[in-house]
Amino acid sequence: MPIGYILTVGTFTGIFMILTVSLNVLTGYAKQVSLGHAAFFAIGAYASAILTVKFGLSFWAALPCVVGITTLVGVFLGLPSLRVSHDFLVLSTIGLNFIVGSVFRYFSFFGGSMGIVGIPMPEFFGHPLGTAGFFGLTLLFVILTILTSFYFSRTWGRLAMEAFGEDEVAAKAMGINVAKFKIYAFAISSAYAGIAGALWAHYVGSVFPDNFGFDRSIDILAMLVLGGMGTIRGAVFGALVLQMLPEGLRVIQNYRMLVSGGILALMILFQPMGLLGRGSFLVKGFERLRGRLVSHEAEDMP
Amino acid sequence: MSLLVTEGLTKDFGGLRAVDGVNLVVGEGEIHGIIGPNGAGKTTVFNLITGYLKPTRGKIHFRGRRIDGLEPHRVVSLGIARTFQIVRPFTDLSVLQNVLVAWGHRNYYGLGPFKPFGPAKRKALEILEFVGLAERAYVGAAALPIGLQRRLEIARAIALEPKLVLLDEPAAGLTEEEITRLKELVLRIVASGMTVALVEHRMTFVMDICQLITVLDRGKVIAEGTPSQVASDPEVIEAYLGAGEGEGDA
Repeated sequence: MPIGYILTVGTFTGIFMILTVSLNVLTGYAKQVSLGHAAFFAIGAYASAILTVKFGLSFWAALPCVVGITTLVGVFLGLPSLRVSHDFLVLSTIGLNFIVGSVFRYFSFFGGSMGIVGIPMPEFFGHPLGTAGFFGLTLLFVILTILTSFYFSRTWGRLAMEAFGEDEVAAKAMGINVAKFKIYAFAISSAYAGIAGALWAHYVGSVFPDNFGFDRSIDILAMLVLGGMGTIRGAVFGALVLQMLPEGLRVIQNYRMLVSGGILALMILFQPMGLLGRGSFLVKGFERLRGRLVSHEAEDMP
Repeated sequence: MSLLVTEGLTKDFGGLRAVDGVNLVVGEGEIHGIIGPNGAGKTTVFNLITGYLKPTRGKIHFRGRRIDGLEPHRVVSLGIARTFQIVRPFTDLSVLQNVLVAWGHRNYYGLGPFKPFGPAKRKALEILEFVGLAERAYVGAAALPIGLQRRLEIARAIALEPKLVLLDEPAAGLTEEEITRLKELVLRIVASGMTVALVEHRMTFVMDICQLITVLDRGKVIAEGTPSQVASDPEVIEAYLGAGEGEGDA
């Protein structure tokens, strides 16, 4: 296998790891199920494409703006969650996915269906990054995403999200401003997804509305559900498996939606906590093994 | 000194007047019981005080400040904690994490949400110790029997560091032995400087520990006084026995 191919697969896997970890904040912690996560991904990609191609900014100068834009858009797109919850929120996130896709398709400012092409590779000390360099850059952002997300998993904000995600009435009685924390969840999740979008845009070199369709949202959710909602290890693992699997088994690539949809449906039915989620059969088995050595106190969330 | 005062508190649900001009005064440091037959509006009064419902008419003052119409989380931040008639533990979380969620109340503003909760575990364990749940700290909240889930609800309420704790039927579904321990716990809560108001069906429980009792019937206050005054009030006896709600010990 040529090294370039491996690095490319690694880069895309890394981008999807960032996306899955970002969805974990929203859907794993705050239990706001989103079937429109590709919209946040798209906004990051388009924001970076426009800032670099149309406004001539460098990747590095554009990136903070991209994070700012996606955070703000996340706040805005999170507003429906204040009015609707559960099934209706899922429906409205699907709607958002289509709305965002349509805006990029129908407004010439965003390139319409011709998309935006000629997005430059990020430069490092005056030299455009190559395949290996970009893989390194992606890896850096994956590590940053995991580290910051891991830190967040130990904060009051995460605890508040877990609480209202399960029971909004009880959470309010604990002094939690549920509306504010829902918006936080959307904003944080969207900010990470924006970084993933920017990486995607600059690696591929072009963005088209079709890159960020509803099927993409299903992919991302399937990765998180497979790995285990509510855990970072699950998010990373799910992205790794579902992104690598089609590379190993070429035939799967032709049936990508069948695989993603099938995994989503089967996992929700039989193993809703995912393979590595809290209380999954693998984690229980592992804890039983380890339990003989250490006390049960060492939990995922102390 | 009066901690909580309601004036003409009224709540309509469509054509039904669930709470009708209730004047309630809860003094600092007391254990105040609110009793009455089913549908008397007791829980509705709690929901009005804690911001879960907005009054149709009337005012609520807490420590001299108007709180009617405030959001529930604001009411909590002013110093009123509540438990629920039907327990609502966070079942995905451990017992300790449940208490941590409540203890976090002062970190849910400003940059607080981005601070780690780890250092607060010691304090949360102390609170669990106080209610007698320390040895179950790392168990999932869903695994607790109902009696202990009620203790967990009380632990969460205490963790909010309130001035006033509202307990909604804390004795419901408990065994006699658990009730004895609950009484002792309520007394310790008051001894540590909090005020308690409770809604309850179990008459013995209320008669034993409350200094003052307010009796509601069909949304109205029909009697108020010490347990012995209330127990001998003809209108109260009528409301309870007439409605076929009487418990032999009333």
